[in-house]
Amino acid sequence: MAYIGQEIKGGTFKVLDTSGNTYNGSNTTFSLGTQVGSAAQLLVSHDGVIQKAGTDYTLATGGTQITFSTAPASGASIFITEISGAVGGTVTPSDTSVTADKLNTALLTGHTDIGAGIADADLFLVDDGAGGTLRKTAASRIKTYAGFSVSDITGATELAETPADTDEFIISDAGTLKRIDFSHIKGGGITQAQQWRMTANFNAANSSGTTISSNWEISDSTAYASLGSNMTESSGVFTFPSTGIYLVIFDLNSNGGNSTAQYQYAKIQATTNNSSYSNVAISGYAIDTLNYAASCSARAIIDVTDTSNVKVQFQVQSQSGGQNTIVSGSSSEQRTGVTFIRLGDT
Amino acid sequence: MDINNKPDHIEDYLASLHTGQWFGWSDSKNKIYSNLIIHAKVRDENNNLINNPHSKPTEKECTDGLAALQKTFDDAKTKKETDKTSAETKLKNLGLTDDEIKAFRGE
Repeated sequence: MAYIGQEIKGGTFKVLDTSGNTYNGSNTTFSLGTQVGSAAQLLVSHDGVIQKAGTDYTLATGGTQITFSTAPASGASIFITEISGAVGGTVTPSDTSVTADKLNTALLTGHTDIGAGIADADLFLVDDGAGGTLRKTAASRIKTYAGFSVSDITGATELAETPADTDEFIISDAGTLKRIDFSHIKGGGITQAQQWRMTANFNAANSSGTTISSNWEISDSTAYASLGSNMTESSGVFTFPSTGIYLVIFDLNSNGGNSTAQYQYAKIQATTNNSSYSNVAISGYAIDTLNYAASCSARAIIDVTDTSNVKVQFQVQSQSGGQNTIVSGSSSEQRTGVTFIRLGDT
Repeated sequence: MDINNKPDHIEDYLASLHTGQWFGWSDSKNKIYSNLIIHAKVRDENNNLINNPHSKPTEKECTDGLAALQKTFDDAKTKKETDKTSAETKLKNLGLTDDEIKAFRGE
């Protein structure tokens, strides 16, 4: 189509469908079937008479309705032509009328990359309080909001117990933030420690090794305390409460020597099949009339990979030419007894 | 036993009576005769668990046994002192000086 002068460059030109409106001499407001920003964007004909915007009619309901100053009579002939945007000029959408669908992705992709790190003064658009009001914000505000401050820790609810193995922490892995389970970092502290002792004396017969199979008790001396779950004992066989690497210390205390030198050994024995035991630590002393009280300590580190099969027991081996030595037991203090300390995971 | 190794409790008599862990205490904090228990099983010299062949002694046997141990201890101690004094006298009679006797005793 040819034009004289400047051609139409933008805008909407169409006759609105107002067929649904009913004119009865009473109603004054009618739907436009679209939304316009200004009454002047409409060309309104009422029974062949062009109406004056702002006088004969105005817009209502955000530009979606037209209100006549005088109610059109029944059977009135009204047509409305929308002329959105000035011919050859700039199209000015009404406030808040541009919807997301009207925006092209080139709004983002079409711009030149900033080509540098974000500076504090750089601006962003933000929907304030998700209330539909767009506001600008400086990058410095985003940095404050997204950053990690000490209040993020002090303001959080305290766990107040040992974390579960699957509880997660944030760690910098050579500069990359990663999550890590507590099970991987919980080592380092002693979680189990306990003392047992023999409560009654006994006369150690000459033998290659006699298991101390009775009169065991958990220490309850003044100021005593243990860590973690208890060991369990049956007929002198000790079962560990959990897998792990344990330090086991067997202290043997005896008295009652005579003129003949006697030798006594403390032996720690371990099994890995809950059946056959082997010596894993031996310590000994000589006792005679000049040394009628003596003690020794055997120590071993035991890798408890299976609590059902890895166990320990304790033996006294005596070799003497005369009177046997008396292995000293007590329920008041640690004389002949055992200390178990879990050093860490197996 | 006390700090000088002298028997001072019926437990010392019981330990001297048989080898091995043949007895214990129902209340190890209160080692009196009425709390004395005899274990059902004991270790033999080959470390095998066997039925305990020993029975519970009477309370009189325990107290008399302790007294006997104490007498033996005291007698041995007295004899040791007597022998020491006698030896020193004999050494002096042989002409040794007190310093020589001390040196001889390693003092």
